[in-house]
Amino acid sequence: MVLNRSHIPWFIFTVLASLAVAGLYALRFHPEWLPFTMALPEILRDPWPHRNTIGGSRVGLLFGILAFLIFLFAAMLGARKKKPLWRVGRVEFWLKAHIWLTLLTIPLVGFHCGWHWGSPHTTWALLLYIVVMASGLFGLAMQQFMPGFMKERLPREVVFEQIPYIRKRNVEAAEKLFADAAPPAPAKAGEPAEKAGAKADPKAVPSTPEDLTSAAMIREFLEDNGLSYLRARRGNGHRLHEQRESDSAFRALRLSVTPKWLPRVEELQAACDERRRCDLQTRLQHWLHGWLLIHVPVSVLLIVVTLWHAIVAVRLFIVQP
Amino acid sequence: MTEAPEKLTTGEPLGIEDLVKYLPALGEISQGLLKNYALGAAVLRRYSEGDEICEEGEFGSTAFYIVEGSVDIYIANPLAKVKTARGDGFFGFLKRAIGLGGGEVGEQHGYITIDADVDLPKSKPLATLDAGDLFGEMTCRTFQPRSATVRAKTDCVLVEMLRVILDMLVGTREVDADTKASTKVKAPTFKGTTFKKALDEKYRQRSLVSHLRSVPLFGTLGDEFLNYLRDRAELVSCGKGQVICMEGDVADAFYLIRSGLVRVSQNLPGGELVRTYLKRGEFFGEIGLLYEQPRNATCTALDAVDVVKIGGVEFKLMLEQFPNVKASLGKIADARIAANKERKPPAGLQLDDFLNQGLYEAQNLLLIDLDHCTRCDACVNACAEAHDGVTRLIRDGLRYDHFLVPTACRSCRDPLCMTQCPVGSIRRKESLEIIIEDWCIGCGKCAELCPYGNINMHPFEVMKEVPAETPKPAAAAAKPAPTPAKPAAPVPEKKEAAPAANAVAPAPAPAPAAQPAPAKPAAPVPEKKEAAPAANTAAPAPAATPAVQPATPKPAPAAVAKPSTPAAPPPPKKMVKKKVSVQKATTCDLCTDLSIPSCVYACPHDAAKRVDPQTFLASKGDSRGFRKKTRTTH
Repeated sequence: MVLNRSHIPWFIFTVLASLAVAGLYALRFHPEWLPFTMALPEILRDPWPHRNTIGGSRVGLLFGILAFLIFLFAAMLGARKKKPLWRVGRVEFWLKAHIWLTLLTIPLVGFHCGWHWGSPHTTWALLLYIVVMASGLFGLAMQQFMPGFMKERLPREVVFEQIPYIRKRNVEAAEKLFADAAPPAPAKAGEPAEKAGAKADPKAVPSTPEDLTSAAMIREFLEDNGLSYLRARRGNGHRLHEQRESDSAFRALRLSVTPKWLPRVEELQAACDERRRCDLQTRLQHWLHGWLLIHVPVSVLLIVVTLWHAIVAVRLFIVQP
Repeated sequence: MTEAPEKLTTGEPLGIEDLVKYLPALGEISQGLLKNYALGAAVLRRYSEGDEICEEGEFGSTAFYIVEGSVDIYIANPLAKVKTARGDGFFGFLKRAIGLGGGEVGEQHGYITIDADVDLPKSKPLATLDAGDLFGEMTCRTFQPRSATVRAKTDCVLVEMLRVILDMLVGTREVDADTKASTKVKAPTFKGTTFKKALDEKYRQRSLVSHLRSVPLFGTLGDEFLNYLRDRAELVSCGKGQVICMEGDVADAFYLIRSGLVRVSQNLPGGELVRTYLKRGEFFGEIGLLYEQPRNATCTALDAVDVVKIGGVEFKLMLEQFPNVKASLGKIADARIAANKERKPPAGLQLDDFLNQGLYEAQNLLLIDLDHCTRCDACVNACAEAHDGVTRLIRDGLRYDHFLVPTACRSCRDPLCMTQCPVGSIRRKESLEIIIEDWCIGCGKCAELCPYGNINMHPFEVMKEVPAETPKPAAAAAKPAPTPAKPAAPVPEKKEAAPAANAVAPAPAPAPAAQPAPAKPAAPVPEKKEAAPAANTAAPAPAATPAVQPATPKPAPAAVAKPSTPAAPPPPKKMVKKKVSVQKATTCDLCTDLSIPSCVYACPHDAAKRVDPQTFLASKGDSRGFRKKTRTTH
């Protein structure tokens, strides 16, 4: 989500809420930090817990509970997205709330734990929290510039799910060209084009010696570069993956073939260019959405661990004081 | 457009004498003209009870006049459509459960308009036409697909005619200036005969009252008043391009469309703006009469149009006697006036793209801000969720500045998709959205006409009555010509021929950004004619020889009767209910029942917007960074 003017109210709310949390913390635990004196409400004034932990105090507990509730709310965004038609507020509103309320958990969690790692158990919880927040902030950062970057770099963006079909179509076109460029004699068994089932177009079969030479060059080019690049799962490392290399290779090929083959060479170049664009789109798409692979499962884990932490804490501080 | 054949080759050819015998009104035409133009332009067709004369959705160029017998005219395609989910979730369910939720929103259409002088009740879309009735006039004139299926109710004799005969009978409709200028071959013009008058009188006596009653607005009028209107209403016929009423003229009458299509337009400083198209059953001219003001729009016949003209005096009398009609009319008039007010000239636009992509046509455009969109497809998923799993939005299309214009209905000012629907199932309510009613017969005309590929054909599984698959007697199958135009066969199973036009077709997407003109993305229009042969394999195939049908029951002796006279009635066709796949058109209806379209509501990144492109894009200009807030439709 791009952070723009519409986020200003949320930003102000989060800053004010963070200041309030910090003020409450200072008022309860470090009143000497404040330039003024102010009495806390009776309900928040309690003796130090026996283990001297901030999280065990009423104020600390309040911070912890609020943070946990925000975690639960943040996790519900996934469910909200699964039910887009439920009229419970626009998904956009939920996402804004998700972003800014989870940012608010930074002071809440920090003051809850008194900015200490605590026991191994709480350390793990904090580490998970850091991973979740870091991945979320990374995703948010990606969303600031990646959509615009994709818009600029991919003028012919396609529907992401159709990329495999586009690649398949391009491979088939190249295999067809390979078959068409075969010499008139029957092709040897085991050639890639035969494997792929591509059949030569009788009209396209080369006839003159120049055409035969051109066809041989095209086949060689396809064998050496084209087919392997178009068939490859990942285009990286292939000569045609680089725009400049590709342009240069195709320029050389175009100069070597007769005019009859030029349109086919251009088609092949277009296929390679499309493959390159699809690869770039795939890569950018992964950057844009890949962080969710960490963010979502670790968030679930964090909620489980936080719940466990709450149970343990209740047992320690309330059941067995 | 289908080219009309010059001669009819199937059926019993009719000489001039026979023609005049069956259609006596042709006697008023000179023999010379008849000899020149009528020979071969009409044939006699004989049908046995149960035979299908024409099928809804098929293309044709002829009209039929019933000489003897009667026919059933009906919509065979079961009513169905992709429903728009209410989208109010658990709370909506609770509201409905305790009775607080609203019912079905929108105007209820009780009748389906077809290409004949009858309307079919939606609850049971069936009517009967008898001797002396004419049907298929619009198909004959404008080559629209057939609007209904016609089956012989009894043994019957029909005259099937080409347009030239129709013109001789009812008169050539005035040809507009453009057609005149572009036509090299000058077609003969005919003044018409008494046939037209008789037809009109028959309509007035038999159908006008039911037609008036079929208009929801007049549903509450008493029989007495309807009879009063019937006697005073004027039946007016207009040719293509003829202006029925002109903007600025004095309002002196109210018009109800009996057949044809009327274009409603307004003259603006920048040119003519088409507001909408009106079809049979719809009306115009009420605003001027209600508010006693000059006409605020020009209404032009788009093809051969017949209207029922109710004079100002009768109209005012009706308003006085029936205040509820006045109130309903007032609401409609107010809605039309409000819709007319929303127009602003474009400014600050990238005009090349704006014009090339047809964005000036759009009134309510879905835009995706590519600087915000994370390509999560939440909009597409929400659309599918809202419409029974069938998305009406494809996140692919041309770009305008930093916006993607996805493939979704844009509520054109000049909605071409509405111009050739044979049953009037694609229409616009008083608001912007274009809706497809569930009596769509799946002809695919609207999908073909939409310049932006925003209408898809979607297969539906429905239960339908089809002839049982019993082997036909060989002799009956070998019945020589003349045979019915189409042998009764099960409705083609079009599913195989027309894949679901779903969001992501398993085919490479087009690269629309590179195309100079608006693309027509993967939304294949079903080729009905291609689908038919495959489907017909399930039909009771005519046996080539008795050897291929060893289990053939004893052939009926009468089945080898004389070609021109109906033989002894064939055994009644056994109909069975069978699950079949039928095509229906679907398009974005802006989630009519919801306050915000689902795609916009579900976008987490504030990227999807429904806007009036003229105001929205003009206000955006080419700005970057934090953009000033502009009004969005939703």
